[in-house]
Amino acid sequence: MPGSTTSLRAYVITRVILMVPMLVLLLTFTFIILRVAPGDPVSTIYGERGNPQVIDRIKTELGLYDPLYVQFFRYLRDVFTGNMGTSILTQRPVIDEITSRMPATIELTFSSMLVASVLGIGLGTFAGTRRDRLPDFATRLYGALAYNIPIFWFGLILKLIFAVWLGWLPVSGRFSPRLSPPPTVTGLYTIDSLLAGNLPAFVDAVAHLILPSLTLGIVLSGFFVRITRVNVIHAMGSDYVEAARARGIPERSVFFRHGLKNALVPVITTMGLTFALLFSGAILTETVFSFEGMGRFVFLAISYRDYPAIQGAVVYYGILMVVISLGIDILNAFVDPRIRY
Amino acid sequence: MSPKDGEGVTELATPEQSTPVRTGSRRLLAIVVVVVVILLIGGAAAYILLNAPAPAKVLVIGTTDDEISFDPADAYDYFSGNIIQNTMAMLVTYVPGTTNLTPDLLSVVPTLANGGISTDGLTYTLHLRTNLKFEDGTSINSSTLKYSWDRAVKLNGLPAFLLDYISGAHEYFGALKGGDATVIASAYANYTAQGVKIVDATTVTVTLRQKWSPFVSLLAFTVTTVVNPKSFTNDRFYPNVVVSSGPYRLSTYLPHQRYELTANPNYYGTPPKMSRVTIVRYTTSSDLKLAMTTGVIDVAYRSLLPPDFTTFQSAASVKTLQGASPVIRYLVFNMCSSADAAAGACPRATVFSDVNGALLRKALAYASNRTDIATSAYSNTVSPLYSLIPEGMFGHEDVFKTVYGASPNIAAAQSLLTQAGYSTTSKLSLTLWYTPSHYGDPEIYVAQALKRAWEATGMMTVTINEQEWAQYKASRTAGDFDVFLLGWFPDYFDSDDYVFPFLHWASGGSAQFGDWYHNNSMDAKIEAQAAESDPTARAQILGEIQAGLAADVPYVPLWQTNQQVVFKPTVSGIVLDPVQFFRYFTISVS
Repeated sequence: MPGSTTSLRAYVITRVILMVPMLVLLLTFTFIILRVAPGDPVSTIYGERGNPQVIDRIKTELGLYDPLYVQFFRYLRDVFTGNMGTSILTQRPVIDEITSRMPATIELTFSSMLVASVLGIGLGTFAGTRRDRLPDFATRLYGALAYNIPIFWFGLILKLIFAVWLGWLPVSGRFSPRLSPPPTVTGLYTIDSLLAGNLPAFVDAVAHLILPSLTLGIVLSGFFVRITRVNVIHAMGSDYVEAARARGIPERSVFFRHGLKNALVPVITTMGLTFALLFSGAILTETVFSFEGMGRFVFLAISYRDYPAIQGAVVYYGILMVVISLGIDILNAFVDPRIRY
Repeated sequence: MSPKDGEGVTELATPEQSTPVRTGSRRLLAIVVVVVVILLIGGAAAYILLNAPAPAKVLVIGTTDDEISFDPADAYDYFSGNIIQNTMAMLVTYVPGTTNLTPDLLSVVPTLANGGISTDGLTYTLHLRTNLKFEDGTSINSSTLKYSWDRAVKLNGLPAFLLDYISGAHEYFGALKGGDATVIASAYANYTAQGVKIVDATTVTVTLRQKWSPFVSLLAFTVTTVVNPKSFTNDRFYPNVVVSSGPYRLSTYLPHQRYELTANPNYYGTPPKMSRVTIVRYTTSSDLKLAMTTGVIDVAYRSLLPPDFTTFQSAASVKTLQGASPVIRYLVFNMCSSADAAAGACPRATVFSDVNGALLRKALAYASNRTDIATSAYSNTVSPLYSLIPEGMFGHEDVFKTVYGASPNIAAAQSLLTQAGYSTTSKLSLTLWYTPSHYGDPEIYVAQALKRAWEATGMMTVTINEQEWAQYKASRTAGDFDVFLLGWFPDYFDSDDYVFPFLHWASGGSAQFGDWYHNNSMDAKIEAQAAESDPTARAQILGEIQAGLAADVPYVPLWQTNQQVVFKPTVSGIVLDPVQFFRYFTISVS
């Protein structure tokens, strides 16, 4: 469909161009909010030691005494020239901090989304095709419980059962301290251990992922169950499904080709946005399982008013949201040919 | 629409006929169950069965501390400093378990007696050992020593102010503030010409601008250690680089997660007990506890929650050890005087200012219950403190115990409150501030214990209030608090660092705490003790300073924290010394 391809291409180009003003707006709001909040990063981080000369010197170096508009335009210039600055708290370039923490977040995001998708879509479909029957009630109850369970508490309970009492799985972290991690290629222990041909290391990395991904995945699945169920019910009761049945198409094909496929369009959108959210870090899960991911980074940055770190994280997150939502739109266009941009 | 048509429509819309859908869903559900079960059981089984056996010689230490910078010119936090101390030899170090200095890279600790300190106390002669090397084989000599100190001054990192007494450094730091490049270059040239001078291949002299007796202690601090010029250029910091001169080298480093140390073959001294040490960082104390409970780690050091440590103390499967720590906790009064406030030297006078304020400060010193704090907040894992100079530090005297007693004296407090114009019907109303997370979970219990103690007088109403650290710091230096809780970890292990920053008005010391204690005679005494190199005379001046502290009560020392470590019975060689240098290289696991 050349027309469809052309419109999609135009849409993608427009979205990429719109990303610039969107980022500027996002950065502006972040900049203002950070400056309005009480406390400054240098005093917060170093003030306890109390040497006014040092604090003064660092503030001068960071340009915190400059007028706000000067700070703002310098900040924008740096961002658009690829310089996110150095974290005041960790003294490392923000880009290094983000790239060093991304592997943990990527592994946790993919594994928990796998759990959430399999459970959420599977159970949601199961319930949606058995509306108002016992399996439906049971699944809805699961969905409500999973979605509302406090993730911190749930993580601790899983940890207590499977790591402490049964001793089946590791308590926390990404890798056993007694093993040597595989040579860093991607930073993802699972991938790097496979690349190194180190099976015990791979198993160890996967084992460390199980509890965090189950914790996060089960909680997220509660939401996916509900949204999948509703959309399956809606799709299976729609005119086009009835029309398909009227044409004598086997129910199996009606369900998979017409019902489920259409029901998944809003589910994919929601899952995609959740995916993007997870890439910004799952602070509670990361904290419970000692995963040094993006969530912990952003949390610490905000706690210490680490301006460059927060601003760098916002840029990263803004770009990520745009890219992922664009990806979702493209995916939706392929899943549902009626969609035009 | 005919009834027949209607029936036809109904039939089409009825999902009950969709048997194949249910079959599909059942399959889907089966897949879900299988995947989850495989993930859980398969992963667990594989973990148990395929996990490689632990290497024979690995010591695993768990901590909740995090690193900031391993560059000695910029390192100024506990954990970074401790990694540096285990990977880089200092010029001098502490005899394990004591505050006594012993040579490390230097061949002798400079003293007046051995000529290392000149009779005027201004010139220190440092003799390096011979044949010292970094892990890469680069020699450590007087040139690298001078380079390292000059670099630390030039870069003016966080701990650089400690080098301010070196001749020319103060002027250079002042020039940096001016920002004029020519003046800065000139000041730096002056500093390098007069501060540290090379005498021969293993000897340098350091000239101070004035007598400062804590200088020898500074030789044990990370800022004065020698760095490898090949890896540490003098134009920037290297927060993630360690080039070892000490027992261990940092072989693998995953920021904020794990640090693997292996023995440094070029270390001049006794090789470390273990060839490999892995330090694992946990984000929470509860994770650290679980890691110790499940045997993942051999040693848990900094920081377990007090109740968890108490639990471990009674557990048969592990051993515990407690030792003194240089960390002190205290109460701060905003005692900005009316005169200073009027002169704009401090934000505002408070209820604790002036003559009447002195009565109230003393009343609170009488009423405070250190035992209750130790019991209710810290499960008896801390020790009461009766001076700003902690137990074990040179010149320490229990002045508050002498003046106000070891336990609360409610009658004395009531008497002072009455003198100040308060009674059981006209009560003093106070807000006690604390910060909920910076010092850990027990802080609220500390505040509650103080409230209980003060309200036991029957003449006070205490409200407890909190602010998160960022705002807390801003509020206290703005003078928003009247009375609040604070803590201190020393910059260098000398009594000077427990009096100068707290009590010295002219340098802005007391102001930075939000205290604004102003006593010119105290300033003079603090300066005198810093210049005094005779231990007896210095101890006497420190005694006078502490007596003044108890008389004026700008702070109420409350408790001294203890170091706590939990370890497996197979672990030996742990030393908890008063300066909190945790040596990995003395520890072994069988």
